[in-house]
Amino acid sequence: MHRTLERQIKKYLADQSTRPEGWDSFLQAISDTYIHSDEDRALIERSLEISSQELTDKYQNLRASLEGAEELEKKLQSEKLNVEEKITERTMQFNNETARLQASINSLPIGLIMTDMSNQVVTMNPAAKKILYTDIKTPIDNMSIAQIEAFFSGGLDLTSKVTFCTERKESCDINEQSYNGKILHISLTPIITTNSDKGIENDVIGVIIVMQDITEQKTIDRSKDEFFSIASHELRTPLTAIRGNTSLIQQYFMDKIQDADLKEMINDIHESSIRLLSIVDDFLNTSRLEMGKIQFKKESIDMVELVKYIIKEYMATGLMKSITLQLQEPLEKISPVIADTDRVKQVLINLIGNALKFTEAGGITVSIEETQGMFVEVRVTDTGKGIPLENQQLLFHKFQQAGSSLLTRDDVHGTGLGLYISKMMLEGMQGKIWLESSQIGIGTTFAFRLPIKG
Amino acid sequence: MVKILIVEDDPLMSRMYQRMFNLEGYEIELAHDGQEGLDKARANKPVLILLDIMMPKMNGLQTLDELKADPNTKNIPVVMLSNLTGEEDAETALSKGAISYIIKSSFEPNQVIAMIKDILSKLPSTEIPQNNQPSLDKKP
Repeated sequence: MHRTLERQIKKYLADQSTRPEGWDSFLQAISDTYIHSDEDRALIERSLEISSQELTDKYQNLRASLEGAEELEKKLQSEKLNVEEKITERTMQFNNETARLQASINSLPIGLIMTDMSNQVVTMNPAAKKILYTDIKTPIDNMSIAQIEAFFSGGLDLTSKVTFCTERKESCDINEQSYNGKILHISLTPIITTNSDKGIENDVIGVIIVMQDITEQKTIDRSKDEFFSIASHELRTPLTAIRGNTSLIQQYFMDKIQDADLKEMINDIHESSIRLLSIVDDFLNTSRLEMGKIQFKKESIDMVELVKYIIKEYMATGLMKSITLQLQEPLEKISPVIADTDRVKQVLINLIGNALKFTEAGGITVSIEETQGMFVEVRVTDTGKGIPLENQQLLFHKFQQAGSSLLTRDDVHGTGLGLYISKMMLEGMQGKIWLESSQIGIGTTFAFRLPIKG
Repeated sequence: MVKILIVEDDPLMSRMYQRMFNLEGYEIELAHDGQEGLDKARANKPVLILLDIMMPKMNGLQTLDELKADPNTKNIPVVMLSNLTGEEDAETALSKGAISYIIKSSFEPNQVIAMIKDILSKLPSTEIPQNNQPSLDKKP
């Protein structure tokens, strides 16, 4: 019996003597109800306790999260400050860089103009302003390429050139542009970004135009030209007189001269004049070749005939005593080449002359062949002393005193310019020259080639 | 006598050419500038004119123009004398009617003589001087 019920029975039914029927079952039912009620209450209390605990836990978690969030908030703030600091620093660096770049551009002695993709000028340095117009203080707001082009009054199609070089993403040069009594050199370079991660590869964002006043350089070049022209004439005239007069003495007056010494002296003077003339020719040819002043004629040349002619001339000099000089007849017909006959003669004379200088015994053979229907190759092979390896690198350079002292030069009779001149001339005729092979004590082969006609 | 007119401003050169041709039996007339050359060409009708390119006052090309413009002188063959760097001018001279050009410094006198003899032999009615000098044709 439930205690509460017992108490209640005791309290309210103490003097009750009779029990109605079913009273005990009834009381038992009530007792059960109380017990169940107690159980239920215990359950509810228990649930409440658990819920309360859960709530407390959740509250704790929330508190912790909030604290965490506050932490994060603090961190965020400090990061934000960091980033702001960095931005300020970077901005300052950027400004410094920009200032440096701008100062560099402004200090350049050559004109620099930068444009954007809509052909508007972004930067024009003082040097460019100086070249283009007189007042460098004039601001350049809204200047465009079209306006710059207008300065040249139709003499320069700048817009097309800019389009051309941005489309091709290549630099372009305008070598001599006259403007206002000056001569300018203008070059255009597209500004290309490589922003590959954005998918914009090699994008052109503008053009850099560089302008240089080369008037002075051109004047100097022209003076050099004139100097060499006059020098040539002035040097040659007295040398020709020495050569001509000694030659006349040799030809017409030798029998009047008794003295053998005198005869020899006259011969020496004659020979010296020829050597001097050849040196002067070498120097002048070199300078003219370097300045691009030599015009190469375009003639159709039968190389076989030319070589035969040169060989005949050599044989006629009577110098070819102990050494043979011959053409190895080509097996097939050789096509004509396009070149300047006089210059090719010079090359052949240079190569054969060299071969002669360095060959004591044996002979010189010239061979000709056609390669791939594009070039005719000529080879001059001698049985001379050969060229040491350390001298081979410098053969076609201007003065090849390769390491060995000036006093022990092999080539005592020349200026060291022969091969250099031959190389420059062949290159001027779209040809090429090279040392094919050389072995000490055995011989040397030089080769050159010229393009076939057509 | 075969008369050759040499128009050359430098006395070193003109003396040499004069001697060269005299020794071979040619008669030489000298002129020291373009104008003198024109006057003497008109007056004496030489058989051949050797004309230097680089001369003061009137240069060789200008003189050539005048010679070819004058009916009295235009048929006289002209050989230009030049230096190496005057090659382009020499080519121009050929197009203006000069027969040939000689690069002065490149040739021995006997080669120059041979060239001139060759040119003269191709002209109608020109006498090549007969020489008695035994030292001729000998190689120096």
